[in-house]
Amino acid sequence: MTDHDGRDDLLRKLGQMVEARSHEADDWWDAAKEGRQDRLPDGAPPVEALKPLDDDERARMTEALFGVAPQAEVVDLAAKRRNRIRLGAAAGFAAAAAAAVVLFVTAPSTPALPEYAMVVRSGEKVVRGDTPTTDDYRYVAGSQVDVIVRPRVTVEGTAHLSAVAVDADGTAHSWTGPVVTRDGAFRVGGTFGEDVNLEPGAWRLVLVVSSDPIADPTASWATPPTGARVVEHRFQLEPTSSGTPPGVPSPGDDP
Amino acid sequence: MAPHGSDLQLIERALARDPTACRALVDRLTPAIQRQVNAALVRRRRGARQDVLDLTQEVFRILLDDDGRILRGWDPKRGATLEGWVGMVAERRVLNILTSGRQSGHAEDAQDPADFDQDIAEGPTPEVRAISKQQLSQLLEGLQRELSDQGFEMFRLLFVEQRDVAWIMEHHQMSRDAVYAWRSRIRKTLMKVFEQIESDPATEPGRKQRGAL
Repeated sequence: MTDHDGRDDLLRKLGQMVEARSHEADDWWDAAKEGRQDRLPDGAPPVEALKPLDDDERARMTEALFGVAPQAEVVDLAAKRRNRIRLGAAAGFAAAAAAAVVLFVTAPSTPALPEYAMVVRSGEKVVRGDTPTTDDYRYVAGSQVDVIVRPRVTVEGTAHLSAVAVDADGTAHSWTGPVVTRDGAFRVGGTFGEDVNLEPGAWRLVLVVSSDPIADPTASWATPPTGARVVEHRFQLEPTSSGTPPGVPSPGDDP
Repeated sequence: MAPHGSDLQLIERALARDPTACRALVDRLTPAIQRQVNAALVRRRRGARQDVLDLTQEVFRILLDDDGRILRGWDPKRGATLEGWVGMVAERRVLNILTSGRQSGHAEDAQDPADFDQDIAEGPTPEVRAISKQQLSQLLEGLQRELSDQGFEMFRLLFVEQRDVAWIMEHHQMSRDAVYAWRSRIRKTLMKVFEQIESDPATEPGRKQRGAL
């Protein structure tokens, strides 16, 4: 058996496993649709957890992904209401009416923005024990911060970014570093101790993307306008006496 | 208009945030994604409703990142349906998230095509008969993790569907050399995964059976 033969045999065996897993996934999917825990293997999650996403769950996901508000199904709600009236359920009528109100109240007056993804290209992740935390970074004076925020899908119209640095007490300070906009993405930068002067301590760089400019972000960052998207970069600014900057700047490419 | 043309239009309209298309796309693709999410959780014998919701949404995010780069990568001429393509991507990405915790903001392919050209030392020839189901499962998950979406699609074509080279050349507009190059890359990736499993103390069964492998 040559090396290629051996590896191709193994790859074909893996191919058979892919096929088998596909059939297995089909069986489990059918079990979830039918609510049949007995058709899942021992130790599997409860079948209730695996049931197909319902209309509400998919609508919420659509809103989260695209910024598309749940459809105000006036006709459908009215139909549901009529059905419930026909059934003589007064409580059902009240519930349907309440649902309609909620839908109209939550529908934003302006188109919501899509989700934004944040990429941090600077600082050094804080390590506790053996595990880096997912979102805490460390800087000292002289360290550069470099954060890029991109829309997940194309943005209709113009989006505006407001950046504030929020201290541990919740007090917001204007972000004085440069903010560059390109192709719908934002790049927030700065050098601590130079164009960004903050006291040592725990901070959050709060970035609010909104359809309209925010007049005073330091006053209103905690109550962003409807449809705005908020992302945060949490970091620790170490005292200067701590020695060599832990985070070597890595400017990266333009967004 | 051909059904596939409608699918492509649906994708474009959704990426342009046409509300009806956004809803239709989510309704259409959720079962293909959730099927893979469910399977991964069942195999791991863990998971709550929130995990299902989070993972399904995370895969959608990955598909939509960079203005739908991965979603736009679906080409009906290659033979896969939209749901089939999305399901294949979902299978790999769910595994990656569960294994590494990587989220969509870092959803780049695990393997840059350029890495394929790196010279990976030829390892021992795996002796197929001696490999347990558990080890096969580890190898498969490693292969899914290491290969790019395109790489795993090529693995499916070559070793799951066992398409011949001419068929792949015709349907994927690839040269013969390109197909052979992919086959070689997949073999090398297999060996890389094989060696990773062997060198990882956590994979004791593989270590114990080193001689057999």
